Amino acid sequence: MGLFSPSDSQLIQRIRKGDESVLDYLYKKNYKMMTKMIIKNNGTEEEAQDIYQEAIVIFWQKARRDDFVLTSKISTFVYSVCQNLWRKELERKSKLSSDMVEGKEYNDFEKEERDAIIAKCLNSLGETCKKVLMYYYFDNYSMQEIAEKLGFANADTAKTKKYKCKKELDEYIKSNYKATDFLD
Amino acid sequence: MNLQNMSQEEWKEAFINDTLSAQDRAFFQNLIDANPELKDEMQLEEGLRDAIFEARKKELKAHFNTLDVEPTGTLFNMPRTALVGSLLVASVMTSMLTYFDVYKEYHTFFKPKSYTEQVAQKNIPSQNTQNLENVNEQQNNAQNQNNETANDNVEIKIKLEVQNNNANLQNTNSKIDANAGIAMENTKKTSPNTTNVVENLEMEKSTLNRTQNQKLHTLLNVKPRNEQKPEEDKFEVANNLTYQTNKQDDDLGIFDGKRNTTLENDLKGNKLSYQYYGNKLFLYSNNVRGKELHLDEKTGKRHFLYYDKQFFEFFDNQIEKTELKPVTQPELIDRLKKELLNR
Repeated sequence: MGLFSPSDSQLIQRIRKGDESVLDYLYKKNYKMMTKMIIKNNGTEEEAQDIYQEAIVIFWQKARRDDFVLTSKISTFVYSVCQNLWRKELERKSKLSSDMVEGKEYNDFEKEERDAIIAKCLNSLGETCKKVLMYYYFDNYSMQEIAEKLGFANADTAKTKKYKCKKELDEYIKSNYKATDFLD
Repeated sequence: MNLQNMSQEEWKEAFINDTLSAQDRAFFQNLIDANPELKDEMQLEEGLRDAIFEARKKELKAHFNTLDVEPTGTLFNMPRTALVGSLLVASVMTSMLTYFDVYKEYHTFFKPKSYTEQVAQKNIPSQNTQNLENVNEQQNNAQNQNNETANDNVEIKIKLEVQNNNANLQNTNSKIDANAGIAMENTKKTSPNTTNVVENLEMEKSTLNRTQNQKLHTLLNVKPRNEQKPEEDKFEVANNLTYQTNKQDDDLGIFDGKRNTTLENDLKGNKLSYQYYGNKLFLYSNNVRGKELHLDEKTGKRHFLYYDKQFFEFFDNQIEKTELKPVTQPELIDRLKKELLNR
């Protein structure tokens, strides 16, 4: 039979081209196997779903990088990411219930507060700006890809837009919050 | 990367993205350590990056939650306490029901299976079951007679009428025993699988020898024959090969040359759809019979299906179930016709 479902290397190629439908395909294909593993290891279905989604996102980010080399099947890769994430989550849970280090807790709180302020600023940006920054920083899309995805004239327009959006965000943060807001 | 032409913004990005060489990284790290203002900016930059990452993750996760996925399962997803609790409740309920059932002497657990059911289980060829079906038919006639006298299967009434029906029942039993005996003899003569059939008959006979109350109850609970037959539909495909669908099975049908499908609902429509799943091509239609064709192009191999005097193109990057659309380009159709004739 000459017709096949896409191979792993085809999927990676499509991810490199920015085809996000691959995410849906992989998510559906491996959902049962991955979540079952977490549920079997004392996780709830919600936790399993969250960890699996996180793992798929990590895989996407890795596969978007030019230097990413897949040395196993995609499902094996995602499975081991799930395992690691779930192990970390279990460790975090056990730490919360036993030896909570005060200093560390304080630092976490400080970081959380800072992140909350930045997230608020990010949300105040327009939807296009937010998307430009997300595509550039998170998805590692090239300016050409961003231009295609968001309907800009060309890569230069996307580059200018990204520069302006980043500047707007920096200025918004600096004008609305002092340095001390991030330290107190 | 030409470091000399890089702006501070680009330096910051490269530092966070970890794309600097070890030497450049150490150089920039020294700058950060020596300059508190730059240190603050770097912290802010990292915070920004985290916030952007979180926002995008949230967006992707929200999208994942809209997708239809195969559920992981229900029983073992329950918290253990809930699972143990449910099992406990279920066992108590079962014990209570069993107790009352024994008390009333109405055992439904030992309801004898009809011959057709037993034969279906053991896959005895249908020719050999003909005699058994005759016996079954006669059994059912007797049951229907008893059903009428017992009025609508109401258990209380059954109990009250047990004594009145004793005489009828004894007659019925003797008829059934006689018929079963004839069937056994006939089956021994005709069937190579005599052992199984005789076993079935003996089981049925031994069941009929139970107490009269049990018999009456059992007989009244036996469903009509047409309900006992497994639901099956047969479809004829164009080349006279027959395949079956089982209405109780919701699995996706696979058409990979073996003509095995269970997608009853999709078979009702005439639209042809396809989907790749688990390395297999799924086709949904009535009278599925297509010829697969390939054309070698410079850009790679193209896949086609010849079906119902039309050509359809498959795209092997198609991962969602999609309706097939016929090829309309005359040149392409000509090429495909040649390809079809060459095969």
